[in-house]
Order: sequence, then structure tokens, then C-alpha cells
Amino acid sequence: MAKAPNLHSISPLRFQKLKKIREEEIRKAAAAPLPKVFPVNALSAALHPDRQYGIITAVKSWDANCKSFTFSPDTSRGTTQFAWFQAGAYICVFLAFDGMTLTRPYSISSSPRETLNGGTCTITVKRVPGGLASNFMLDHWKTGDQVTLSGPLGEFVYLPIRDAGTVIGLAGGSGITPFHAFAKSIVEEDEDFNLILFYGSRTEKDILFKEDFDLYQKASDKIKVVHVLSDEDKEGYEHGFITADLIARYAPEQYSVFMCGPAGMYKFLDQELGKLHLEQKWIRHELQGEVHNASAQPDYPANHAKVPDTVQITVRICGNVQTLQASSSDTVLQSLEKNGIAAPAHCRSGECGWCRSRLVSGEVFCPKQMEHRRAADADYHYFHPCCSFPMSDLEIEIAPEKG
Amino acid sequence: MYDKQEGDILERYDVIVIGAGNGGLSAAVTTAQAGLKTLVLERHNLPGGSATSFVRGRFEFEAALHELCDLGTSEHPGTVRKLFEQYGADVDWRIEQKLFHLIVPNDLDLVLPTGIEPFCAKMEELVPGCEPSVRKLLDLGKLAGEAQSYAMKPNASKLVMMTKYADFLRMASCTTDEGMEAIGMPKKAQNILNTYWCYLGAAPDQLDFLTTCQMIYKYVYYNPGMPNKKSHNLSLTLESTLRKSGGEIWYNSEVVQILIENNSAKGVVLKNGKTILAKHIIADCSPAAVYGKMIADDVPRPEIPLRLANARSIALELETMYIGLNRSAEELGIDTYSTIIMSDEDPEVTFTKSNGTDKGTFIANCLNLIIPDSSPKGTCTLFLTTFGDSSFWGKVKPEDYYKIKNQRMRDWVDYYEKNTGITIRPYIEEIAYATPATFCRYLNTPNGTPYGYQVTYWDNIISRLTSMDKETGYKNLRITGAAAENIDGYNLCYLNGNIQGRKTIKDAEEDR
Repeated sequence: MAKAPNLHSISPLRFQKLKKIREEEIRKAAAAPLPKVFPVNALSAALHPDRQYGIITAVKSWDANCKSFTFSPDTSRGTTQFAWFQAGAYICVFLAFDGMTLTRPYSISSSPRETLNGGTCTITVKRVPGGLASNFMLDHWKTGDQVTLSGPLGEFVYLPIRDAGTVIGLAGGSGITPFHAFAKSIVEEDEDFNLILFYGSRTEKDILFKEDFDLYQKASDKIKVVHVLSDEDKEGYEHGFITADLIARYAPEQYSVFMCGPAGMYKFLDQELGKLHLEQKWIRHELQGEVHNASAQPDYPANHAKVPDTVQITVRICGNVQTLQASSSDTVLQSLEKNGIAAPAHCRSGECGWCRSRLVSGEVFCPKQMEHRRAADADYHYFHPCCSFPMSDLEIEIAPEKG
Repeated sequence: MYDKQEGDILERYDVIVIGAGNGGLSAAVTTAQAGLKTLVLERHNLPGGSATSFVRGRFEFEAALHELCDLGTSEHPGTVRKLFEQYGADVDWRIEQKLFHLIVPNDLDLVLPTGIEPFCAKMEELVPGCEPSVRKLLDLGKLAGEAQSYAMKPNASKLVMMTKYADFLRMASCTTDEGMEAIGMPKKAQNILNTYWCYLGAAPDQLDFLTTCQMIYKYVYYNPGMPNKKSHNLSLTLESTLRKSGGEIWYNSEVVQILIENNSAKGVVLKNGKTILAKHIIADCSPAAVYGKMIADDVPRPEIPLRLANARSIALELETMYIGLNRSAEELGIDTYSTIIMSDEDPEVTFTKSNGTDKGTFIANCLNLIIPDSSPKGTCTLFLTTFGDSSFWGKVKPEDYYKIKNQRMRDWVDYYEKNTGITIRPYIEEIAYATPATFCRYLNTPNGTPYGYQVTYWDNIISRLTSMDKETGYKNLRITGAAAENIDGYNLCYLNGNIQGRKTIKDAEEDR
């Protein structure tokens, strides 16, 4: 009969030697200082800085309500090189004025290649009527000013494994900015796809980057720009709105749709795209931006008791407690910012989760279209202040903004 | 002396835990429940470290590495289930009935079931004659747990260890290769069982037999599983348990320095300049970071931990890919939660080839097989893993980074399709690829490794456990996490945290 398997060939006394082997390994190792930085951590820090400091080196005024601001690295504050990014990315601008601390995301309109060797980075800002940040930047920012920026962020990027070889770009107004980065990157061979861009403007003179796009079309046969003017009927331009019919006239058999523009445009275009019967994976929206006016949202709780115009929000940050009066028509994040609290915020559209905070007590309303929380976050009363409106007095716990 | 420093001095805590990874959370719950005033400081805006999730489009992707291996049932709970029950942390667990689908191209293609009897029967079918050695290995795995519990008792006797648990000492002192040879396991059976090396991050000629037997036994007897609402659920249930015991947790609060005075930890300094004092500190960080950069340069390093840190090498890095598919697992033909593709039958060969280019080891997980509604109806998620290569990524220029990522996404998807015969490419709705640089961004570990230090023969679990009390550095500073005594692992980090939490409670009692 075969012997039952056993470990008898190994002596249990070997166990006592283990200790000696370990001690010997430790004894013979150097007592040298350990590295402070490892190479992959250095790459990660270069790609994903929490903060980038810049100086405004050029301002281009498109008209009274739109400017492009070009930044150079501010070496005096420790930024020698802006982070490389993928075309389509955005950066946040950090602003502090009139007792407020604001964070706003802007698509980078320049190409990643422009950042190389201490190079520049450009955002394009359009005036939002009543907007706190855009009015401040357009009216106050000038060449030589110092600016504080985040690292590159966002998911509105082209991925060849996921997206079709042709992208139908749908841009409205200042929603053209990421497409400028896409087109320039195609010319610079950092991106490789066919871009058919439908760009909606009111009139010819409202078109941003017209000369640039003319150049890119000449430089690369992968780029085609179709200008669509809503308020002007002019030779060489499509007239009216971007519609399913118009897209179908230019589109190849397979394509991805990338959309960037105001919320109203998304609503209209999503309806139009419905006619084209595309699977969800072929349609990508850049951040929809902030929602205002909670009670106008289709899923606002209709039978909810009237929410007072002003509510009280008690805010805990790292053991400190502050109480503020907030308008119930502002998101929780807007109220924090207006009260000078540097709350974490990146996308302001509910998606990125950077503002994720804990609702200790009270009730908030988040429109369903902005709901992107992790499933467990909802169970444990975490919420995204950037897209949540107070429905009562609140007590919340937030993290401080990094930086 | 700290009162005279600049910056705000906040109130004093009994315990500060640096890092809200699994080890940190578990340690913090342990000390808070013992009545110690506990504060957790986390540099990220989320708890969990590797055990986290993120949302892209309509998908929430699980990021944990990978499943928990010894959940058991409520009647026969495994260690992690027991620990969470002990903490009073409520979790809706989901159990998987298969271990893995192993593919070695042109060689092996097999699925192993859980449960001692089905597992042994399947192994005997695959490798006739191997069953007695497989049973022996499982018996040893069971014995290992009993012996370890006995050895931890204060009155444990050497004689009992040398007689009743002699096999425990044998397992602990031989490598996996030696142990499997000793019990006469056929080479092919060894190779199949050694598939698990990839979850321990060490090749069978270095990994101790004790760890291997224990892990295989836990997987087979207790079953793998996951929390219903992803591992983020585990972090939040621990966080909530911590708060109930009066503990606090601050996010976006990176500790940049641990203050040492007279060879004893006194407090920490945050990135924003704030100093917080504490009687005890538990760092859920790599010792490489603690002794490398978190202590002021002019403070002498304790000799043994410093030499130990120099003697060890940083564990393997990982690369992971998260794919949201717009078809169900059933429609695509995915029928196993874990599929492991090994480029060679011999684990020592795949270990040496473990980097992102060669894909020596390639793991594909479809969470929908354990939790069908873990993604929207009509969709599923795939989570791909292979070992990374810091010597490659450390040389990558930022301007080449995304091009390399795009190329690798194509390579990986092709590799998966070729080896499984399952088409996924046309159905990719969302995809994210975490390189070691991504791991650095979220974990901030050396070169982004989630696994602490490389496990070697002289630095295995038992060697770490038996020497931990002799290798401590500064007084009132304890280190936990993936580099700690139970080695790395999703479930092991919870245990590590618990051990250091309990030791800290003891330290606090001795102070009184």
C-alpha cells in the first residue's frame, strides 16, 4: 500500500533557522537612507498635479463676451512645466474675490503639444449672463496676472479601442474649445481619427477659431468642419440648426458622436440623434454643466412641502464647524463657495465625484440626470454638493480642497 | 516643544491612523471601539485604497484586487466575515461557487469548483493519481489555521507546537515547491494549484508552503465572494462603525510628516501645515515611505527597520483595465467570474515574465457572475489584470503616456479575445486603464505597488509574524497595511489592521 502523503522529509527544526536567516538578511543590508521619490511616482506627479500655477501671457478678445487666456508656467510659484494631457481634457480655475472662493472647469482649447518645454496652455471663456466666474475673468484678468489651476481632468477624450474611426463633433458656442484641441492634435499627430465637426454659431462673426480650423482642414485630410449658422443664411455655410438629416448627409457608415455645448443644445441634439438609432456607446457628451433652478427640473418632488427661500447649512470641515445661510435655489456647492469655503469641486456636473460629501442631517434634491454616485455612497448618505439642492436645513461634512 | 511651532495645533488624539486603506480602517475601528479617541487622516477623498470603485457613464467599476477568499457562510464564517461581524459592520455578502477558469494556450483549459469534494474529484480527473496529495494539501491548510490560532495564545507551548503542530513548522520553513514535492504532488497538479501564486505575488520557489496551503484551503472550503455593493461598501460600513464609536475621518488630508521626539512618535504634520498631536500613531503606509520621506531628515532612523527596508524589494506593480460592455455576460458567452490565462504552465516562467508587455499572467474578472445586477441590465463589466513593470513606466515620458495606454488597450483586448474565443471589442462602451502611474496617483505607494514588499522565503508571513515585535522602530508608531505581517491582500489587510489596532490598545494600557 502506498504511503499516505506527508511532510516527514522536512525537519520541523528548520523552522528555528528561519529566524537566523531573516536576521542575517537584515544584518547584511545597508543602513543607507531610503529613496524619497520612485520613478513611477514621479511620472504620476508630472501627469496629475493637484495644482498648476500660471501667468497670463496673452489675451485674445473674440468679442466683448469671449476671450482666450493663454498661460505660461509660473516658475516663481514652483510650476516649471504644465502637465501633458489628452485633447478634450479640462482644467479648473481657482478664483477668490469678494469673499467667495470659486472653482470652474474649462476645456483646454490649446493642444497638449503646446505645453512641451515649458510651453503654454489656453482656455477660452465666454460670458455667462449673471455668471460669477466668467464675468470676473472677462472683466479683470489681464496679461501678467497670476492664476491658480488644477491638473488636467475629464473623460471627454478619444479612445481608439472604444470609439469609431470617425468622430462626428457637435459643438455649440464656446463648446468648440475641446474640438480645437482635438483638431490641432490630429494635425500634430498626437491623435489619430477622422473628425467631422458640425459647429453651430449664430452668425459668421460669432465663429471662434475660424482661421485655425481653416488651416487645420488644409493641413490634414482627416479634418472637415461644417459651420452651421442659425441666424444668418450665407454662401459656404449651412443654415439653421444641427439636425439628424444634416449629420446623415456627411456621416460615414460607422461613427462616434462627441458633443459639447450648452444644456439646451444637448436636449435638442439628443432628440435628433434618436432618429439615427445609435447605441449609447457611440454618443459621448462633455460635462453638462451646472443645473440652476431646482424646482424646474422634471423630477423635482412635486408634493414636497415648500422649501424656504433661505436655509441654514452647518458645515463640518476637519473638526471645525461653520454655519451659513444659503439660498435654496443654489446648489450646496454654490452656497459653500459664496461663503468663501474652499470646497472641493471639479466637474460641477455630478460626474467626477470630487466634491463627494456626507449629509449628516437634512434633505437634498439631485436631478436624476446628474446622479452619478457610487451605489454604496447613496446608502451611507454621501452626496455630490455640485448638483444637489437643499430641501431643508442641512448639516454636512466636507473635505477641504487639496492644494 | 510643538506648541512653539508655526501653524495651527489642534487637539490631541489618543490614536492617529495615517491612511484609510483596508488596514487603516480596520485598525481605526479596533482602537475606537476600545474607547480610544481615534482620527483617520486620508490623502485621497475616498476610503479603501485599492478596495474602491469609480463611476464612468452608466457603469460603477469595482477596483478591488480582487475578491475576498475566505468568506464562508454565516454558519461557518471565514476570517473576514468573522472580523466584520465582530466590528458590528453589516455587509450583504455574495458567494462564488467556482474558483477559476485556467487557460494555458495550447495546453490547459479547465474550470475548478469550490468545495473539498468537488475540488478533489476535479483535480483527480485532470491529473489522475493526484488526489491523495491534493487532500493532504487541503488538510495542511486546515491545520495551518488551527496551529496559527494556537501559536498566538499567550500560553502556547513549544512542545505542543513540536508535536501536534510539527507539520505547521514544516510548512512554515519550506517553500511551496519543496512542500508540494514532499507530499508527492504530480508536477501538473502543482502547476494548476500554483495558479494562485499570482494572488500572492511571489513565485512558488520563494513562497512558503504554509501560505499556499492556507490560501488554497480558504478558497476551496470557504469560497471566494464579494460585498453586494462593491468593496466601497466595506469601506463605508467600517467608516460608519468608526463614527459610531466616536472616531473621525478626514479626507483630502495628507500627512507629510510624522513628528518624532526622543525616539517616540508625537504627532503628524498635514500638507496644509497643520500639526496634530497623538499618543499613538498607526501608519497604513509602506515602511519605505515612513522611513524614507515621512520623518524629518535630521531624525535618526531606527537601525533594524532601516536595514530591513533596504533588504526588501518593492512588490510587483499591477496594470488593470476596466471595461463596461453593452451586452450581458450571457450574450457574450462569459460564464466564469475568474478567468486566468497563464502564458506557460510553469508558474516560475510566468512569474519572471510578469510585466505589462509579456502578459505572463492575465486575469479577467466578470463581477456579474457573482452579482448579476452589478451593472445595468443588458450590460456587464470585465476587469483585466496583469503585472506591471516599473522599470518600463519609470522611463515613460508624459507625452508618450496616453499613446502607450491606447496601444496596450488594443493589445489586451486582442489577447483576451484570442485566448477565450469571446468577442468583446465591438461592445466596449466604457474603458479605463490603470497603469502603475495611476496606482501612484490614488495609492501613493512606491512605484504604485498595491502589494507592499515582495514576499520571499526569508520574508514570508510566518517570518514576519514571529519577528514583528523585535523589528519595531520608534515608540508609539506602528505600521500596517500591505507591507505588514500577514503580507498583502484584500482580506489580509483587514487582519493586519486589526493586529496593529489591538497592539496599540495594549500600548495604551501600558501607558496608564
